[in-house]
Amino acid sequence: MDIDDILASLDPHPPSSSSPSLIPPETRDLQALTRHWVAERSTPELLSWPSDGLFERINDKIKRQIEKVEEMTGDMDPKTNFALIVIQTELERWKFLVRSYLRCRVGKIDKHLLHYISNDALRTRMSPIEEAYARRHQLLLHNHYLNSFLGTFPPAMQNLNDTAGNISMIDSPDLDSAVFIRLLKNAEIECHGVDVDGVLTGKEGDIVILRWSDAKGLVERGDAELV
Amino acid sequence: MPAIPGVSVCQNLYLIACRMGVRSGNWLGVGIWQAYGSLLPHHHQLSGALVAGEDKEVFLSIRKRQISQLEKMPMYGDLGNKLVQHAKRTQNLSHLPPYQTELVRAVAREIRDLDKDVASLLEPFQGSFDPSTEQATACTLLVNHLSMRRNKRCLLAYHRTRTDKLEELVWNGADILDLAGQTTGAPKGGATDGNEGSGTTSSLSPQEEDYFRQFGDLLALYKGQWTDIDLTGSLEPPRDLFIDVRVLKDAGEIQTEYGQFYVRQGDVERLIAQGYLQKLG
Amino acid sequence: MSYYDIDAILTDAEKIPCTFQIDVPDLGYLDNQPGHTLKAGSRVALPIWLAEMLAIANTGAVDMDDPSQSSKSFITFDLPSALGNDVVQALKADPRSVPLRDQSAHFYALATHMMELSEEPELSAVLRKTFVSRAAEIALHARKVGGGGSSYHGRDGGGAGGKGKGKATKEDNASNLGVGGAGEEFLRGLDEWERKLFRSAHDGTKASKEWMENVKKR
Repeated sequence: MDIDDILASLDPHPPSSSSPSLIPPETRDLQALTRHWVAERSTPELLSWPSDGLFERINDKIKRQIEKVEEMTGDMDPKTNFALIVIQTELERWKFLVRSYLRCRVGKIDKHLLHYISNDALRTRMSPIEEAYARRHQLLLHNHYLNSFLGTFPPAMQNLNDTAGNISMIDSPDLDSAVFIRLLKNAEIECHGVDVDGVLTGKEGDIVILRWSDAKGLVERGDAELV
Repeated sequence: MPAIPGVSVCQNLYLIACRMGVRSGNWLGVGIWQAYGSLLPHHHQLSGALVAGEDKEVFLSIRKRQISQLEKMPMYGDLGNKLVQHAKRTQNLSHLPPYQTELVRAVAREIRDLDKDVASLLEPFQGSFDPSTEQATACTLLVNHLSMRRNKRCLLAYHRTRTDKLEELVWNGADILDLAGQTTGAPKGGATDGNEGSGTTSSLSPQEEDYFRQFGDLLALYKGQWTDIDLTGSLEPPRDLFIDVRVLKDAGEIQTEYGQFYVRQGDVERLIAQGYLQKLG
Repeated sequence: MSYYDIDAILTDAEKIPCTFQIDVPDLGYLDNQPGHTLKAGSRVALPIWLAEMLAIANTGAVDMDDPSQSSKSFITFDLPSALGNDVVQALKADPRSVPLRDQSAHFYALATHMMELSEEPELSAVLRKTFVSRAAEIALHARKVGGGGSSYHGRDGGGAGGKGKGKATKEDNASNLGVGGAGEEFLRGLDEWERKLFRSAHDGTKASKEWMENVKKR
């Protein structure tokens, strides 16, 4: 392999005629991943798994890069060595983003297992792999409780999902915790406070700290992004 | 330890046991001390100078506990609360203290007893219980019901706190054998009550050991779906491809592509986590 | 509130003074007299998890003579001494001088819980002021300590250690909350919630300081 090929492959791809934007698809994927990662890390609840095949593409890319690295280490030519390090550093960065994103999600799921698996709308936020993991994890926990003490209870006491009484057994994330958002367009922000609610007129580019429950609508409509 | 003149034999024993207990972290000492403590009158003669500092604190807390046991009937839910206090302590520890087998059993037993109570309270009514005419019974039933629910919540929270810890350990790559080894000589863990039932040295209950293994399998399965990304890898953003490490333990031969002078962080992360290597600078 | 939350469960164990409104034969044990009837008018300290539902529950009794009294609760309750007049007066005078922890390890959680059960506008106002002025003080201490370099906590000077190392310092943190000097007494008096606040303020300051240093290095 020639250094020119490598450098060419590192260069942004020429915009394809079918793509409406000038940004090459790989860069767009990286941007999308970074945005998902930032958003996931700053919200109290699990966000929707990107269903547009983003992670399938990313996985492919990582696989290709790994293969390339292995190919290149075969002939350790001092000339290719530098490019090799560049590719590997880039690869580590991709892997880190994916890992951190997935760990963040699995952390949220673990914390509120029943919450996410007992409701259809919430369930679809998980990827199929995550859902299978969550169900199995809940099953293991339930069995553990049954074997440790729950099995000796009178049947009426054995449920794990009672919502009667003054407290629900299904823990859920605190949607009122604070997030930072950047407005992508001018918008009226309805904020709820302890005593008074208010409306804030925000301009594009403003950064606002507010409750996630108030920010959610703006973010979902694309009027704001999480920072 | 020399006896202190001017105080009774009993009090001397008390004091000596107290010193043993606190100074050496020897819980046996406290055990003796507790035994003798019950022989003493409530208003003990020990001056603040003799029982100073820590000793005094431990002394007072045990004394207080004895008095409160004397003066107050144990209530439903008290044992459950003890369990939750264990859980609170567990949250702040890096290791897992011994499983409170006896306490768990006792709290579960309370639930069954309460359930029997409820059944016998309702029996005379033959299914036609009217709470508005039988207020006193309705009140007792409610208290019983709430006590059962409370106990259940305590048990679940206690076990969940521990499974959270276990899961963290699995994520960090701990081995079940590591856990069995750490337990025998932990004097700090408050092993004074409850754990005599298990008979083993593990701080995990057999059910917890099962859970640990099963969760390990589940995690391996989940990780296996992401073949190219080590999900248990570092969550620190990568800075350098290569890192300097110091070898702390013999780890056998480590194969890397770059000889022995540089290692790729991603290649040796597991070894760092397991304590074979230490990252430098 | 969360079902599995350890602090919430411990808060619910705090006892509040209650008065029984009816005779209950089987509950004498609550007043240290097992086997005896618990008489109406008995004052008993009950944990919140019990008191709250007993107070809310309706006896369903119908009083024909006076319909307005037709449904009374099993018990009535008062504010616990932690939220009593003495404490409120002291908080009004100087919020920072009251060791809340001595009143209850879960002081604020207890207070908010009690205020969910009964309207206490004055108490609510005092507590809010208390929190604001104490939070400022907490932040001040946390900044002092968190920004003060590595002498505090005797932490590893070598920057971010491995994972195992992080664990050890977490434990150090827990046992070492008291800082030498004037703030010690104040910090000792923090309730659980304030401790969390202190810890996150401290960690935040420390992290941003480390970050600034890293930026400078490059």
